Amino acid sequence: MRHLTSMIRKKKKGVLPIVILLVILIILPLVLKNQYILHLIILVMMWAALGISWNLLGGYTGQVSFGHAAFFGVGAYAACLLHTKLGVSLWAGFLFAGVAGALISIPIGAICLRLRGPYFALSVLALAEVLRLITLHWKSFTEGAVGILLIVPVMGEKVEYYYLILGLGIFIMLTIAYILKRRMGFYFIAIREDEDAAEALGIFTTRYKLFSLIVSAFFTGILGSFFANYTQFIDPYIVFSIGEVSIAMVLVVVLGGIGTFWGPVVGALIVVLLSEGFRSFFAQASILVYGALIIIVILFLPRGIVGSIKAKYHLYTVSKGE
Amino acid sequence: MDISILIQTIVSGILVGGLYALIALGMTLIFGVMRIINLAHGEFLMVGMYTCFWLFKLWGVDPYLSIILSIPLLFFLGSLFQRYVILPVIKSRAPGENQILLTAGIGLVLANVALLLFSPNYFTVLTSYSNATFIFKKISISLPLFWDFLISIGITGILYLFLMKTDVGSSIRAVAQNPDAACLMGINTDRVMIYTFGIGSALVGAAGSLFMPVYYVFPSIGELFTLKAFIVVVLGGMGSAIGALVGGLTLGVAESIGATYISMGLKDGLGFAIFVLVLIFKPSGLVGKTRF
Amino acid sequence: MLLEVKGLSKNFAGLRAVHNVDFTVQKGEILGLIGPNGAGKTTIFNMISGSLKPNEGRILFKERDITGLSPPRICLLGITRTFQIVKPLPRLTVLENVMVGVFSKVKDARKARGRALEVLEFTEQLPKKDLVASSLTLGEWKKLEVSRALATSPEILLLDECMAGLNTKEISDAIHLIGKIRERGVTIIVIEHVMKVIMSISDRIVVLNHGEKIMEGTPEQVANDPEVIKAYLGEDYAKR
Repeated sequence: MRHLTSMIRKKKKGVLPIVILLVILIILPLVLKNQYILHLIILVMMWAALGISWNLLGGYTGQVSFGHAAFFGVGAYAACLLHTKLGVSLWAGFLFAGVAGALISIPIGAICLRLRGPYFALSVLALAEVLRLITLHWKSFTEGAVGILLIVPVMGEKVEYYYLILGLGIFIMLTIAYILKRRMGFYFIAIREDEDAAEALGIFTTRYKLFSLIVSAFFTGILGSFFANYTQFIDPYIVFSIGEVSIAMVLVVVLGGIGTFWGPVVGALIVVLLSEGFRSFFAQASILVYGALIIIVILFLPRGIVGSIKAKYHLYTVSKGE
Repeated sequence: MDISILIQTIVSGILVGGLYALIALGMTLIFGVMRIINLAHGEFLMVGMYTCFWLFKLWGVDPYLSIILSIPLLFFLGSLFQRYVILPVIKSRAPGENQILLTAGIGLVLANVALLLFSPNYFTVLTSYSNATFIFKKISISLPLFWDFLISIGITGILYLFLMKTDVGSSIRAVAQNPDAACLMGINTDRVMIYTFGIGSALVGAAGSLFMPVYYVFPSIGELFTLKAFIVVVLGGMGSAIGALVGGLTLGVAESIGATYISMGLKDGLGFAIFVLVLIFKPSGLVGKTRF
Repeated sequence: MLLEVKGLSKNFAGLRAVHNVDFTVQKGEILGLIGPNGAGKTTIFNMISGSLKPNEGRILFKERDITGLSPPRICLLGITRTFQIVKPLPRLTVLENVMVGVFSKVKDARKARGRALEVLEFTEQLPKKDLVASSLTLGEWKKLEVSRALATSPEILLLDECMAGLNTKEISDAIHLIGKIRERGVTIIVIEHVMKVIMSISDRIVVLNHGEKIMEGTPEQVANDPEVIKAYLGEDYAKR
């Protein structure tokens, strides 16, 4: 808090809009009673948080993953199973979900992050598929395709979920902003820019890539359990989905601006609004829209929205986001 | 341990493996030349399969004849995507992940257009020989699979000869080894990349026709087979045609053994396990980085 | 004896890039490594810095065997290299680039920034500190390579053709900088083709040809050695 006020006092450029946004977000539910709009904002915040988590690994460390659904799904199932089987409170479930995501990420990271090339990106995809298959077939443990229904949700009102995801989102953003200012953040970016140079400067690249993965997977797992709590129903096809989870995360970040701080937020806003818009007209088409969007963005706006704006008007530096 | 069951299992595995090899061949070719993993590869297979299906359903064209159409069709489709969608991205020197992501987008679009056009239902092609088998030394061999295997090997052989003996093939290999040097030698690298993507797509299109008699098509089949193709490519070694063959046979046999001795649902498990072992101990693949 | 290279050999699929090379480096000296293109100089640097593993031979740093250790490990032990084809971290600023180097020895970000500023002041690159690395000229890139390497506080600095492509003024600035670095107590091994430079700054020179050491001595001895002249120098030196 003191840091924040001192930043405002120093009239640090760019802090004021953030504070205003924060205030608006905090006040909004008290003013706005429309449940559908609240639901949309909750979705935007969740996807923004997912995008930011993915971005730490994919955007800042340069290790793109096409299978983050693995961590999302593991988090969702960990929280649900711990609750239904062991009666673990859904609050503690969040933490365990994060840990579960982080734990799953370690073996895949240890094996694939030592390698250069597309191995990691696609092996995580394979991992997500394996996890989906296991969850599907291990009916005695996971209920298989039937899925898990949370009868007693952790919260009652939509508003409560709103503040929960807002809090989670802020926590994740602050943590990542903090990491980026410290040595670890610099090392992540150095690895992205030039792995050979990074090694020559004393950076154990595999180790740091793994750290980045673990943090990213941890947050993604937590968000998976948020999703489970919010929608109150999960099954293997939903939470381990390649198109609706893994690729959606990548789309959110690439559209907004890969490797930028606020890019995922912008991307989440657009993707959620577009897919909700299409859902009303044309349910099947939402993934089609994802695909087309990806193609368009990469062809015409590879730096994403925020990235393109930054390139035009600012230096493209590592400094914490504006 | 009943030896005859084991042999039967291995033989079935080898036959299917030949088909997997053909499917992966396109992916490894594209990777060898352009260093992109084509995440839409499975969707191109899907297009090949739907082509075969509709030709059969509307005009009664036998799947093995439909290859004659699916090869040029997929070649054309692949070249088109390469020329207008992928090449611009390569030339803008976008990071590799963007290129992979682009192919993922193409895959999503193709899969969902298929979903909209053809519904999520499973389609099969039932011909007179779909379930035919013949016995060879006490082993029951599925006839269509046997033909598929022979044709796959044949196509692989033709591709190999094409790459080694023709001028176009040599320019493809040149671009694979060093695009800048190839360009300096007067090779039109853009055109080579277009051909390569076209050939890669054509290969998997042919595989689609071969596959229809023994499997079934549905819009999401792409996801499944892109992953399988990637596993085969990793098993064999990225960029190696021989590797695709070895990898395909290995995966085929592993799945077959898994299905027979473990369970049908978990047959992929053995394949994944070998995949992980290769990544840990020999990431360059069982065959390694031989030049095609 | 700070660094000792014994019987170092490296083959690439039948090509003998480096064969049975021995030399030592004393603390505080500047050792020049010269030879025609393809003589194996950068390969030796790669082996010392850990990017390549030798097929035979040993590398001893302060009596400790460092053969085959990984590049980050060797940097942390005290040997840092620059790259012949420069490798800036393009989207970071000059200051941030140098900070990455400093972080190898300093953990705290604020202290690292301070130290990086000191390094940039030493190499006289301070005015450019907030420029994004991708916008620099070649000469500035080469200097950034050196600044960044210095930031890791090395005991031995391996400079790989840092003069290539520089104009006369830039070259004399570079020579001046290398002198300053030596005064700081850093031992330097230099690979260079610009003869005037290497002759003037080196205390001793090792000459390679076709992967083998053909001569070792002071600049004068090397300049007059018939083998060396035959392999390499000839008119080049006279012209310069």
